[in-house]
Amino acid sequence: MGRNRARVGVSLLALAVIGAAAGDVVAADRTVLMEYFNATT
Amino acid sequence: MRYVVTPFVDDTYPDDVAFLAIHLSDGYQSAFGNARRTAYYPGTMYIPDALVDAGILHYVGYPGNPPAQWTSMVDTRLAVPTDVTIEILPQRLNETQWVFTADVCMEPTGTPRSMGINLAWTVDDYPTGYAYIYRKTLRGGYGPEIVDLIPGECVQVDATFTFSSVELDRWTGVEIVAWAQTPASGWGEAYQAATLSMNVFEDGFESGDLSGWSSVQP
Repeated sequence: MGRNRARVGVSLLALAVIGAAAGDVVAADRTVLMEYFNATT
Repeated sequence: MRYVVTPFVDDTYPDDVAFLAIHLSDGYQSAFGNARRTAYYPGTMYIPDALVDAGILHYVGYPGNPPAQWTSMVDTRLAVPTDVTIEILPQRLNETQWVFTADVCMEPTGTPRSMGINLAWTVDDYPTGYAYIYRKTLRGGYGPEIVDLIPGECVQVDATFTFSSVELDRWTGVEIVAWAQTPASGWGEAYQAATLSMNVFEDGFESGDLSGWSSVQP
């Protein structure tokens, strides 16, 4: 039982490391530029 | 009331779209807006004409209601990763003048390249007295200032804007826009944009102007 708990802990740690590494390569959130050419009517 | 620009920017993309309504030849044009228009010519000379991310996508005509012709372009671009971030930092010089700094950074995994940095400002619900409500009308701007960005580093571009009664009387509707695009204006690609609403400076607290405050408590 204790060994299983340790394995779960290690697995969660591994996921956290993977997640952190993935976070490094996730691009910045984009804001889109929209230019709307118009005129009053 | 009819909107010449539907409220889609606020309703659907409250933090994801930097919108400039560039008026042409109607008395509400600006030198900066005219320069943007000229840079896109030839290729566009229509009214209305919506260009997304400096011409990556383009739609001539009214987008309908709901504005699916516009939202499809925005959704397409939002799905494209970017390696650039922008933050706009304001500094009040006096009653009418502000300096806005675009802090443009490249992610550590980015691709080094030159960019044209632009800053501009808009006034919402202006002009008035027409059958339509005009949203986020461009009033002026600065750029492009060409900078070289390398991964993990930032550059700052300053623009000093002088506001008139048009802005001061509609202060909560004033918005600053900054963006980074291919170095030359005209048909290209915008890599990132950012907005800053002057609404947050309405009470003068952030700017240090406490003249409108009756008391200040710690």
